[in-house]
Amino acid sequence: MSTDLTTPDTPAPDAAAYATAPAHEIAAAVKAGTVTARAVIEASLARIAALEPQVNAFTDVTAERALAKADAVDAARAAGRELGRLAGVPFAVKNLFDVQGIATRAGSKINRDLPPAPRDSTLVERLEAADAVLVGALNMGEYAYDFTGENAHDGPSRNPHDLGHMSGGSSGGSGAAVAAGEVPLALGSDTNGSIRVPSALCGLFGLKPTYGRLSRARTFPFVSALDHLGPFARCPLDLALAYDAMQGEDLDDPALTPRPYEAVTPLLDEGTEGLRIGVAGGYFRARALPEAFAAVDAVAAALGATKVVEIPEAARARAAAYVMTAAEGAALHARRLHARPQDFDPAVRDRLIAGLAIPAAWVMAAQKFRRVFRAQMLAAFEEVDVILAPSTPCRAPELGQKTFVLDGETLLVRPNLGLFTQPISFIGLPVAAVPVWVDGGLPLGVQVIAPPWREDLALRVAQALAASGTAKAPVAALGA
Amino acid sequence: MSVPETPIPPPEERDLERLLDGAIGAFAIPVEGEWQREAMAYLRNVAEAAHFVMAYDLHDEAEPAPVYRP
Repeated sequence: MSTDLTTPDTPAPDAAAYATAPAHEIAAAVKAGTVTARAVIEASLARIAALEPQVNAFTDVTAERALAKADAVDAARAAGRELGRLAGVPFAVKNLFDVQGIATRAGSKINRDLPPAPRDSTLVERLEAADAVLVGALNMGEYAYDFTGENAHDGPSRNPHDLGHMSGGSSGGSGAAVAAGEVPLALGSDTNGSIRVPSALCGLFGLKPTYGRLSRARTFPFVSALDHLGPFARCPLDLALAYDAMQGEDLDDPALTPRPYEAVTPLLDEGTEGLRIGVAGGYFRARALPEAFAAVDAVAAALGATKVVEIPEAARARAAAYVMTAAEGAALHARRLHARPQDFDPAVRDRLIAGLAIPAAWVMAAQKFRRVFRAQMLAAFEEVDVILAPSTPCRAPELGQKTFVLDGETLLVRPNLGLFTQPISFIGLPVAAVPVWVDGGLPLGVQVIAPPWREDLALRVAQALAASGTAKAPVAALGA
Repeated sequence: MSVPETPIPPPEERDLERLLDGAIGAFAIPVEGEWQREAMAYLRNVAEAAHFVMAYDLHDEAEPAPVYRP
């Protein structure tokens, strides 16, 4: 293994600093020859090794593959080839993404017995085509049926801003790895909130694109009708760069909607002037702790948003998402429930068994209501361009916490962390999750919700909030 | 055309138990210990959510969201 950190014609940089740099800074430095991709990846791998005993974000570290890819990036630069937009950027993926040579465990014990994946998932291939470097696979709630980031088999991914608290789920490792500064970019999935909840709890920017926008090919599903994939990062620019690198048709995903390539990065700094920004009322102003509303209010104030948008059927939308999730998730796992029920996380298994008993009429009603709610939301978007809503009803609960009290009602944490995210993913709207720190405590999240296919609007607002300092995603203060 | 104004009442506990028993039998799930009691608690929640959804006046012609396009 080479120990040279730089190409021969460049000065020695502080390579370790790049381990916690944002993706766009790393890519710029690698392209400029200020630092080699190998030096960046070695620094990232060293930080992962140092922090994992505390954070537990990773289930697999693909060091050999990562160093080989980094060397290929450096060789390409040396040969005069123009590097991709994510040159030398380390990234990691929730372990439901296929990574060649690794069994796609999807947070489970059972899937570890699968043969190694023969090929990477499409989104991994696309990020690496942009010269990003995969460094590993990330911890997650079993089979993505989770909002906590806890895992009965691998242990919880821990919140880097307070290790005794939840990272959020089910993409808990994705949130924890980026917040810890182990990587600047991670991918997760979001069926009912699994990108937006960890983004909120770990204080990160996250993007849940429109349903059908990014390929899900060669990822382990949960609820096909609701599954989305998307990135986590510590700034909106990194989300935009990753999103643009991942767009495009893919015949391997039949649910992908044919759309033209619509780059968002060039639009990111267009600002919010002229945008009509509303604040979700009704359902989205109840059943949360005051700090969750304070985060929304801080964002609204920064944007000058005063219009309240009523979304009258949000509670029913969440109920419908709940029914669809239970039924489709159960159908997916029926054979495993028959063959190896004792190998499931009990909290997941018992919900899946219940899902097998759901009558088809309940599911069809939910599917029909989905179109009704979509029409209502599209009508709302005739009055505003984006809508603000809380991501979660509270800050990160403590690890192992089972209940919380919202509006005087004691509720289970596990299903209710996503009560504000579920109605939105139910109809597949794009959301940029932005991190807000209101009073010195742990972070909170605000959903910036846009009409279908308008990821650009959500990301423009996120960028404006980052520029004003209203939203920020610092690397957690951990000893490395 | 709208559905008739005869709303379906929420399922009784014993009906949900039958549904769960039937599913466990139909899928040959070898349940142990407290699994069935825990699953029943979840099924109650799903039934409540489903009843709420089905209370909405969905027209017969309403198209479900996932329309297959060959």
